[in-house]
Amino acid sequence: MTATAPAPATAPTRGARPLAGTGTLLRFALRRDRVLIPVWVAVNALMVLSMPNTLKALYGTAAERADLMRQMATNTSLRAMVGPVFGDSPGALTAWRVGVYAGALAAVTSLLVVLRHTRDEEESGRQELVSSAMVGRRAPLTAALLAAVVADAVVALLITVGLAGQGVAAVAKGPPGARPAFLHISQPTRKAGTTMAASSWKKNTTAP
Amino acid sequence: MTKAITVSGLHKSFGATHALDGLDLDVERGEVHGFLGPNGAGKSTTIRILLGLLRADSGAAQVLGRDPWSDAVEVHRRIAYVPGDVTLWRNLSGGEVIDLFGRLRGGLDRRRRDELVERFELDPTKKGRTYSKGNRQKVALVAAFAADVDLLILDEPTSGLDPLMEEVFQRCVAEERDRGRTVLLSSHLLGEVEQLCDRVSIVRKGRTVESGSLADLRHLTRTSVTAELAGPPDGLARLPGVHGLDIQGHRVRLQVDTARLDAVLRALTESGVRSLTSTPPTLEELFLRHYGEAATASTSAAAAAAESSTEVER
Repeated sequence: MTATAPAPATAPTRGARPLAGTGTLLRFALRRDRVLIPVWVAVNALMVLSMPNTLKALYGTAAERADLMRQMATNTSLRAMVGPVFGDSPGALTAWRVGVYAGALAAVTSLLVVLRHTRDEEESGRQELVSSAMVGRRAPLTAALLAAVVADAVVALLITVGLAGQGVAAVAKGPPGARPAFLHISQPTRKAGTTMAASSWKKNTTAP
Repeated sequence: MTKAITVSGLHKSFGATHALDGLDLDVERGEVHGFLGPNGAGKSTTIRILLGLLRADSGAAQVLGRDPWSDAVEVHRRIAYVPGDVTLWRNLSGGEVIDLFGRLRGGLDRRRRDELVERFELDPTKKGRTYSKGNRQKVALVAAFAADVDLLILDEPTSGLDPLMEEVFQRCVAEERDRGRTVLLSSHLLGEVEQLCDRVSIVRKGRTVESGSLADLRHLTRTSVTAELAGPPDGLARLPGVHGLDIQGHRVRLQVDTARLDAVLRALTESGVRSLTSTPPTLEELFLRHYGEAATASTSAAAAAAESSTEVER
């Protein structure tokens, strides 16, 4: 049995470079999703941007809005079902009606994007081929998260700009609990990202 | 000059399963090294460890002078890998995948890529979902052979290729060896191994059972001799190294350890030889002996009784 120890490394160790190849993988992910992301983003943005007009029909006059505020203040079961109204302005009403849905849709989009570029790749075996190239251990997950962030950033931008274009303030000036649309949308991504990063970190540093 | 790959005493367990049980492997630079073994022997696990995809429980591994786990990215700069079954992205064309790997591996020789695409008769413009299994493998092979690397790790890369493409593959590997590249080839195709490999390592149940050049390994196998004699055969059963002696009238069939062939031939010619067929040891016989000792023991249980009288301790 050849028991000789392997010769010492002939070149100095440069470290593992865990994020090598992230840029390439990110561009690749966005290229693969060049239809998927725009579609989800468009649906989300359209949902939000069509709200001010709908609300104008429902709560057009000041009397109707006052009526709504009074109902909200008194009727707790109504508040439980549709959430508290932030304020009186079109922006506040839009955030009240569609804010949660937009956030949920952005969360689902983020989840979809991240899974497509992590779990799907691992299960199909493509990840093995990619990982045998100059790709760091953290790079695939990081690229997937960044792709989701890009998708969410685009949605947030479209909503902010679109609402501003309709003359509706997208940044709340009023009571706490209302947030700028941008932060509101990116929250699900940050939550999803942290959870996935934590579980993947454990997987990569302990066992196989 | 450092060896391309050195592995010693590698251990790896997945829960209760011991995939690797003290495996050794030595691959010199510039050689084509065959990596053989039955299913479940630990070949793919070893390759994954060499690629830094898995971390061994214990033992040492070095690839091109570096540690494959902690220096993974640097090692990958000089390595190209082709897995056993290749899955590609559905909406990307073969050419795009080859270019992607060119970017991820840090360099692609354009002319070589185009030449290989032609030789393998691959249509690089078709989408991934339209490729057959063989075409997917061709994409991975072209991406690997066109890369500017020092070591190629091929894990059963031709399992979907037709015989013509198998020929092209073998010629490509020979060309890579001529350029001074090292190739680690894991294969079940013994013809391929016989044609290409300079040295061979046979693993079984997580350990290396045999390692050496094919010439060395052939000494350990037996030559089959079939002869028709003029007179009655005499004294063959007494010769050392003779197995499976079968005499029917004047026809003799036997297997002899290649090292003892001379004595057997002399005994045969003494009886007068009318016709003689000698089959050189096939790699298949060698591998079957190592792959399935349990299986061969059960099927030749009857022959063992006859063999035991002629078997000589070596």
